[in-house]
Amino acid sequence: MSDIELWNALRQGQKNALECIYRDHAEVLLRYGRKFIADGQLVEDCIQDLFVDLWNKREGLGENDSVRKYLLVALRRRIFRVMEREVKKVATEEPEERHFQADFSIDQQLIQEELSAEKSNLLQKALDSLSDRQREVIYLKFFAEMDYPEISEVMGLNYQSARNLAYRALEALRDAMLVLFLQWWLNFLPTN
Amino acid sequence: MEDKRLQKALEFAQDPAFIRWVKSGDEALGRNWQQLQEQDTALQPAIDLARSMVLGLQVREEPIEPSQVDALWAKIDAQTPASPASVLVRRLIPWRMVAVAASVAILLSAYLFNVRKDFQTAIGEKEELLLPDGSGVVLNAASNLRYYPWRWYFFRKVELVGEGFFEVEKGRKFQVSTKLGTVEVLGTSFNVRARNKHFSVACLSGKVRVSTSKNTCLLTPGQSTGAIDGTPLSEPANVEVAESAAWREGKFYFREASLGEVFEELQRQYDIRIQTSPAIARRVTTTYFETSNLDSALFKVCWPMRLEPVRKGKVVLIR
Repeated sequence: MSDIELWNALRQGQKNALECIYRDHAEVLLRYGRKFIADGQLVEDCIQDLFVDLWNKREGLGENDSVRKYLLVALRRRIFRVMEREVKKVATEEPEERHFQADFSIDQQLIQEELSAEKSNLLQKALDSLSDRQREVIYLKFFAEMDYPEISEVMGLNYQSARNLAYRALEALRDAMLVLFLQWWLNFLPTN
Repeated sequence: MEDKRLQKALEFAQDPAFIRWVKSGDEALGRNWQQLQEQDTALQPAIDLARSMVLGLQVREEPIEPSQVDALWAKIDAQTPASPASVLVRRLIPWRMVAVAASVAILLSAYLFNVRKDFQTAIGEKEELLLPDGSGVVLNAASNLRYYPWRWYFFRKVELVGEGFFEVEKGRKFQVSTKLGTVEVLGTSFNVRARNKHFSVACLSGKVRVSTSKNTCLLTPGQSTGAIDGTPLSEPANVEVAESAAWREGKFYFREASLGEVFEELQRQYDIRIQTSPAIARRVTTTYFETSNLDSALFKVCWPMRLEPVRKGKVVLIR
């Protein structure tokens, strides 16, 4: 069953569809949520409320072209609401920015042994220089496997902004990767 | 050239189909890029670079255990009742509850409305009663008074069989209903007698409206009216009304009453059976007796009429 079929089954009140949708997306939601709040329990609570609401309001749900997008948007909103409440509790503090905290690194297998500490540092620096929003856009692209229209909706940006943001981030990533591959890459340089 | 390939790598790395292929490792999904590579071997570095971007980038994060996913589902499952019927029932419950509550209320009030209280006096017995509004009733012997406690707020109404003296608190209409006629007052004291076919009402204070199926009349203090065997009520007449209510102190006054009536009262006050002839019962008398002593009472009634009572246990023969 495709996402859309599952969604329509959910709208018709099929409990199985709710479970299928949950199981298809639970991991992505859990991972994504934790990038905003370190407290895993809070993320779980948000996801739980999200699915309970989804079930209770199933008759009022509209058509949906991307279930994952819908869920991520809903979860993001929920998490921000919870965070705002938390911030208000600690009234002395300035309202914190919503940080998307993804700790990027490069797969160790790709890093050759002979890679110097200097180059390794350079690589990590390139990754660390990514802004929170760039991290989020890359995360959604590679780890949630979303396209730009979806990403722009999840992050509340227009399409072009999302694209630009991703482009610059990927450029940075590519250049960082090139550090790794420079030697190897040079072999393919055209001889002319 | 180099720029172009770097550009290509960036393009690939943004293509969801490319990402899906690289992440899944599914050969079928990669056919496109395989073909591209074959057409232009120079693209291979671009594809490799894009692939290393997608695969090489890692996020340090705690792994999600399947048990965690299961546990969270269990919580969601518990809060999402499955059958649509149960949802329907949940919606209906308030209405059903309302309906049940309403029926219970109606049944209960219907029941309560018909809850009645009966007071009965035996022969020779007299009882003083207090009604919910503070009105008092003295119930003469062998009489029955009934009222409906839950209706009392709406109607001050009692049903009387026999004789009673009423002292009514001021307030809404107070009604004494008997088989022979009805007495309505606002606040007063009066005596009602509804025995066999004799109906008589004496007003001691306030105003009393008396009605039967035939007619209605208004009594002022000191007046009395009555009806015998379905006749219209007599014109209100000034009488010694205190005498009509003197039975409360055990004194019985009769003015131009039939001996039969007097005998009946004697039978009610003393547990006796009086035997006499119809001719004697029809004779009219004005008499008085007290309930302290039967022999003395019999003597007081019989002697002026030149009659002789003969007592044989509970039976009294009067000739």
